[in-house]
Amino acid sequence: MGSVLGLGAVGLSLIFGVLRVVNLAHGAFLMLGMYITYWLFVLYGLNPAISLIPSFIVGLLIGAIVYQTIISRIMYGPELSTLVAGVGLMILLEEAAKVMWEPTYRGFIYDIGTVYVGGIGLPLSKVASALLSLLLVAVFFIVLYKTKLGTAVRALMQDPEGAALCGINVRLMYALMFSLGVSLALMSGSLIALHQQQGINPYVGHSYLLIAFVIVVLGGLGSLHGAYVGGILVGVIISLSTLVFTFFGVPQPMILAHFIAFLLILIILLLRPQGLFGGK
Amino acid sequence: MSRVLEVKGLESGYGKIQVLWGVNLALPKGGVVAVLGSNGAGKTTLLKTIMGLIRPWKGSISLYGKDVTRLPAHVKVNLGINMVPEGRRLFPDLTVRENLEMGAYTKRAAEKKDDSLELVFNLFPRLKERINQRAGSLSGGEQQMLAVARALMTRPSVLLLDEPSQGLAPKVAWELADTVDKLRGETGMTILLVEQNVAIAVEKAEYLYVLEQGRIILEGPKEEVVTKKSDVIKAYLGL
Ligand SMILES: Nc1ncnc2c1ncn2[C@@H]1O[C@H](COP(=O)(O)OP(=O)(O)OP(=O)(O)O)[C@@H](O)[C@H]1O
Ligand SMILES: [Mg+2]
Repeated sequence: MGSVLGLGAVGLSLIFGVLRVVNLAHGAFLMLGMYITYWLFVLYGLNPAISLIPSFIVGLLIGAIVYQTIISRIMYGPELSTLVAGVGLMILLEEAAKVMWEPTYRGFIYDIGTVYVGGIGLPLSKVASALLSLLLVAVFFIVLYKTKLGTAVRALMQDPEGAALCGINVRLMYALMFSLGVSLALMSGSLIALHQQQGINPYVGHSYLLIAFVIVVLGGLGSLHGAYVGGILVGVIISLSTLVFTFFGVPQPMILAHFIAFLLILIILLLRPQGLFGGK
Repeated sequence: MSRVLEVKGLESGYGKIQVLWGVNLALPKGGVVAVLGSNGAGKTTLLKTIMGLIRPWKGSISLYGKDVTRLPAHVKVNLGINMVPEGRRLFPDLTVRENLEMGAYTKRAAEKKDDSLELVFNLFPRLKERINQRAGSLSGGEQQMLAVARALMTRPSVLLLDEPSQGLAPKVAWELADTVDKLRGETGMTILLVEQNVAIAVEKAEYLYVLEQGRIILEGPKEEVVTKKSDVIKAYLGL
């Protein structure tokens, strides 16, 4: 669970780190990814792992369109305009989803067995989704740290003007990284769909938007590996405390677990306001 | 002598604030030209506009006779013009090597990467010793060397330098200024030097422009400007 959350948070962090744009439509993008996986599974029986590919492609397309029509026009303007545009986009996507797919919860069960680790049952679908997200994040970081394109992205994050003077097409790079960030959000949504016990509806992204922000702040604003580690941490805290609360028969263990997670994060941030991996 | 870069009637600024008011300037091939001017005169704005980091409002810029007025910076870099920006604009968390590799980002520069590395390490042996160090951890002088080196990696034939001596001890500032001589000697580069350190500018350049409040108020061959117009020089620059 944590790893999957981390994947989405990396997408959010990438967009912030490169473009300095806070993407409030992040949760709505996750929601789209969940529906892609849901419909492809329900209608065509497509393996949710395979649905990562359409999520990736749809994410790139939507990202490119949103960058070209909205972000590129306002990203150098006041911060408030990108925030308002993000909320607008979120409402647009959610209402479109409501019209097309109705506001009811839809769930699906993808059962490929269960493994037992130390007496605790882990559904294989969840294990597989964690491994897949780990793989995707690993590929992302290898590209970021071992290729020329990745170095250019890191250079751009550190100094856009310096990057332009190296001959890097800054606007094209912004478009690519925004699209990739949206893609990561959709793919994360596709994998989260496997963890979504109560099913999905058009507004399911809200809680994930909040979680993603907490993760990004926890990891250190704009720190990409911080976002992933933060995701794992939040996921582990939530899963473990859910488990403990369930064991002791506490009512509504999930909600209490979220409460505990946010409380712990608050404490960490009080001690280290810049986040775990943030600079000064 | 043929003109490599020619700027005519250039106007630009930020938002609604106009900074440059009809600047004319020319660089002869292989020459070193300096622009002097006090704080806020518009020197950095001039260089950024020439490079395409700021859009010109009016006027024209031509490079080797080709009109490049509206081209963005990354395209101009590919045409063989580059700038060592004020404040260096390095990538602090990348290593010296990675910073230099970014200088060789374009296809044109990448083809000559090994040759360029040899050139910059000859010029600045200190950078070779620190190749795996983070750029942000270098001393001020080393950072300025890296900024010059990164610009050279893009293989410019025209180089704009924005206050390379800024914030450096006099000895280090002069060391860096001496690379101007080496560059024109070894590579025949055309150089535009922006300096507040008048002594350096006067020593290295053969032609001077004085920019004040976004206008060129004085220009001419070095000797002429320094001797005949010494009153003006004194008034503006406190020489
Ligand atoms: N990003 C900016 N936005 C708005 N105004 C700016 C900006 N940068 C510079 N200016 C203004 O433009 C004018 C010229 O600035 P510029 O940096 O070109 O001067 P300069 O000659 O390079 O000065 P210095 O010697 O201090 O580097 C100044 O009045 C400055 O306040
Ligand atoms: Mg300046």
